[in-house]
Amino acid sequence: MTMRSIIALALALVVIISLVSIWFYPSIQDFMRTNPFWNGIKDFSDEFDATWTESLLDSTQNPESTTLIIIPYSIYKQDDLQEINRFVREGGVLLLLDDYGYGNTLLEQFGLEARFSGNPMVDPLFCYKNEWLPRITDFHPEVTQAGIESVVLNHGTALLEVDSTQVLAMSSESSYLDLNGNTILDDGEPQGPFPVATVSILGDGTVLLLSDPSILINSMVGRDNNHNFLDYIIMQYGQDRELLMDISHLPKSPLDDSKSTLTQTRERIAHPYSVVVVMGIVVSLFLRPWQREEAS
Amino acid sequence: MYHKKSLATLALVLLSLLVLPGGVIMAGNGEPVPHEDPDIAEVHYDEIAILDYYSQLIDTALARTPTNTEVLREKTLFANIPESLGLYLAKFGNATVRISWLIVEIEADIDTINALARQFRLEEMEEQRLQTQDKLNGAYEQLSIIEKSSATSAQILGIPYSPGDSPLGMAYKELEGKIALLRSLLDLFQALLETLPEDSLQELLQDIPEGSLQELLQDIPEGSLQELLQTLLRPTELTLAVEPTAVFVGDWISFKGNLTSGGIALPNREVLLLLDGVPYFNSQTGQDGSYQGQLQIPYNYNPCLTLQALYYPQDSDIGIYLASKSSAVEIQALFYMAGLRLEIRGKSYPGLDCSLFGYFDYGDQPIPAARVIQIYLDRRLISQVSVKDSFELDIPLEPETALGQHRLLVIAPSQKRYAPVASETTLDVVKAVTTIEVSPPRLAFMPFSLNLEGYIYSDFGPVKDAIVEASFGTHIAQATTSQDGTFNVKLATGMNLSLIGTRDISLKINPTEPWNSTADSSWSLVLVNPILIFLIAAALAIIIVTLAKRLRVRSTITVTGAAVPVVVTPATASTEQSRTGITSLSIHRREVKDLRQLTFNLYRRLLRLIQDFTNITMKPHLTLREFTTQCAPIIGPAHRYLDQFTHIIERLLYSKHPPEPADLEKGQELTRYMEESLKHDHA
Repeated sequence: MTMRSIIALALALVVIISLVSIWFYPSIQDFMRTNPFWNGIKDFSDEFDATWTESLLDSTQNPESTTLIIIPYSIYKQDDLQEINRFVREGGVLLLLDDYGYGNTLLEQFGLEARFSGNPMVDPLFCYKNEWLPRITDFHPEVTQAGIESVVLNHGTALLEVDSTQVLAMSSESSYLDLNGNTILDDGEPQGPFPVATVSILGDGTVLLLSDPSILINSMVGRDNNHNFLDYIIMQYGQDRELLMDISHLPKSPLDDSKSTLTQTRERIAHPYSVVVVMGIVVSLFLRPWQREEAS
Repeated sequence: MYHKKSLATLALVLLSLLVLPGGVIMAGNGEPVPHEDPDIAEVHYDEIAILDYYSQLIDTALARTPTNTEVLREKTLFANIPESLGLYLAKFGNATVRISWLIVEIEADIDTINALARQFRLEEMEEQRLQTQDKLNGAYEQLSIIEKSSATSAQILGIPYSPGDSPLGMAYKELEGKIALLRSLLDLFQALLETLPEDSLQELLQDIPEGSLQELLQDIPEGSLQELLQTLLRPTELTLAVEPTAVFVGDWISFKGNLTSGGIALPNREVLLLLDGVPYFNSQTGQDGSYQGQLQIPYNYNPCLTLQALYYPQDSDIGIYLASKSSAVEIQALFYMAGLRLEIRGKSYPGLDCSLFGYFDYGDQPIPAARVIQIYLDRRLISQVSVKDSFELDIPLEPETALGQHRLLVIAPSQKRYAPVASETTLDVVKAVTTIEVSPPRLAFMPFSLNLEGYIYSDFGPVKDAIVEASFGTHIAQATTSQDGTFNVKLATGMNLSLIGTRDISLKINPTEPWNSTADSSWSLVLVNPILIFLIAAALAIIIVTLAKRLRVRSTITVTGAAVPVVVTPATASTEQSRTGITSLSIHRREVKDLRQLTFNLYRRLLRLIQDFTNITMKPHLTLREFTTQCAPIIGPAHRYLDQFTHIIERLLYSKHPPEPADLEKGQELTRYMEESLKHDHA
């Protein structure tokens, strides 16, 4: 065996092992479907049968049959904003979950008055373990009738400038916006109750706002009635619709990028045309020795 | 070459395996997303928020809104409270809900009783009174549960251990005040029930003989009977007027009204004024049935108040007049509100004052000349001073103040028209870093002592009177820094068995000032033990010299043999000399290596002798043993010497046996025997 063939073999081995590692190694990144740990959203994806999409254009093609989930943790381009606006106005259901991201950019684009506060909402009394995990216990009567008693948020914020008729869930009176982050109710810091979930009609579509995307993570989705609440709003406003989740604006690690690329590559290879091409190459390689024999 | 390639491949693969997935994952930690793992989240309770929740429950009961009490009570399940508090909060909540409903029912019942009395439906009224009394007794029972559960809750929340004027203590006082209001309300209900005609009317009726009563009733026309009955329990009317209806807290308002019954003034009757439904002030009607007076608006800083007058019959009025309430008058309570901003300037050190800057923001409202503020550090009152609208205070921090974050709360209690205001900030207590400047020696000699000089300072300048503890192995020395922060320590190095090596010197600085941190430093120096080195060197020299002498003697080997032209000592050369020319030789140790060659030479010489004697030539294909076997019949019995020598040679040739002088000596001896034997045979 020559040195060249050994290097080639080693490289091939490295590539294969790397691909296998990337495919099977779980992500530890927040909000990643492949992350089975506390901060991933594997459980939500599995239980709600959510399809992930990297392409906003693909996910907004069929507004009337699609519920789109967006966690806007990076800024949207103007084209994307317009595309989402069109999607909603033409009958799409948008579930926008944000706390400290770029959700307000979308709301501005929609022309809605509601805004994400962007400041931490804490509740020293009605909370799970500590004030950063506030418990929401005031709901719209229809939500209460659905058997939902409490929802726990995780370092979430509040919604401002919301019409009271649009409110689905409110924080308690003991909650407040911790503007300076010292977990003390200082003079001038707004006190609750604050809306944390709302629904608005926009054109032919619906915009659902939730002031904490962390409700989706594995360690939160099963806490209190979080699962039922998500199920309620998804089913109530997007029944029989395909649930798509846009991951193009989520922070991703290189591992997640690699996983995504690998998945896309596999999907492309699995396409019928690709299969035909690959089969052609295999057959031609198989027949090559025979052709040589005939030529000689 | 093959192994190198395999190793290179393996290394490449392993390296790739290590780098690829790991690198990918490590690179995945981008900006942190704001959430925490709820399973391992730290548990934190807010005692003041919990007490406020208790107060809110009582508020809803006092406000006669039992549904709100129920809604609030149902949220108890979701409150973050200590587990041990759960039972008592549940008891408190349930009792508050019950008492909230009972208050509404009792008030309605009292109105019903009054209505029944006006209609002279005495039996129904009595029945209703008894039912209401039962309800009131139930309300008192619930109040007792409320009081007990709040007292137990206070124990659990550690309120007895916190000062009464601390925020926690004040929150509990507020709760106690609200419970007291609840009790006074129930007492009022009890007083109202006790004013109803009850037995007096029964007695009046009983005093009249049965027959005469019948006769009396028959004689009276129907319309007049009604009038007569009405005179027995007369309804009353009460009015109330307040001036002004918008007033600052602490200011006085004038009230006036009339108490009449059927248009007739009721003089010298007590009128109770209820503020927000709770008894607040008593007034007396004059001869014309009017009452008037002034009352002070309490410093409650509640913008909306209601005032209502209540008359209920007492003493001789019982059984004659019925209770009545005036219409409620709304009063707007005015007061000044302010914001309070706090700022800690500079760093905070234990044992030193920290600088607190504060500013009251009154907006367009008048600024008071001075305001008392209370300063709490971690809920403990540490200072109370009077300040202007902006202030800068030096807050003394105790030397024992723990490092880290502390809560500094400033409360400006209510001051007449000024509502209380509070603000909190975080105080980060740190220690000044103590720095050691020392030029450490790099070399030390045992057992000579070591001199360390240095300078200690911190952000506050030289650190004086600090204890400097220097340790070097088991030796410790202490010194104290002078006023200019310098120190000088003499440190014994001691004596031990090491010759040379490195050892650590460590310095530990313990400043006496609590605001300076302790500091330590250590470094290595080379420690030399010159005495032991000298002693060991001397001992080694003696040993080497002695050994050299002994070795010289032992390495001299006496060898006999002619063919070895080596160094011949006169002593050995004269001792032995054979006729065959084999000479006694002195073979030095370094020549022992040549023993092999000497032995072989001796054997070659013997072989030549045998060949000459036997005329048998040693063929190249023959082995030594075959040759000796061939010669044996000619040589005769002497061939055993040749065999023995051959065996020695074979051992030297084919084994790892090193040549020894004994081999050479044995060879020489065998050669000599062989020569003598051959000479004898030849002769």
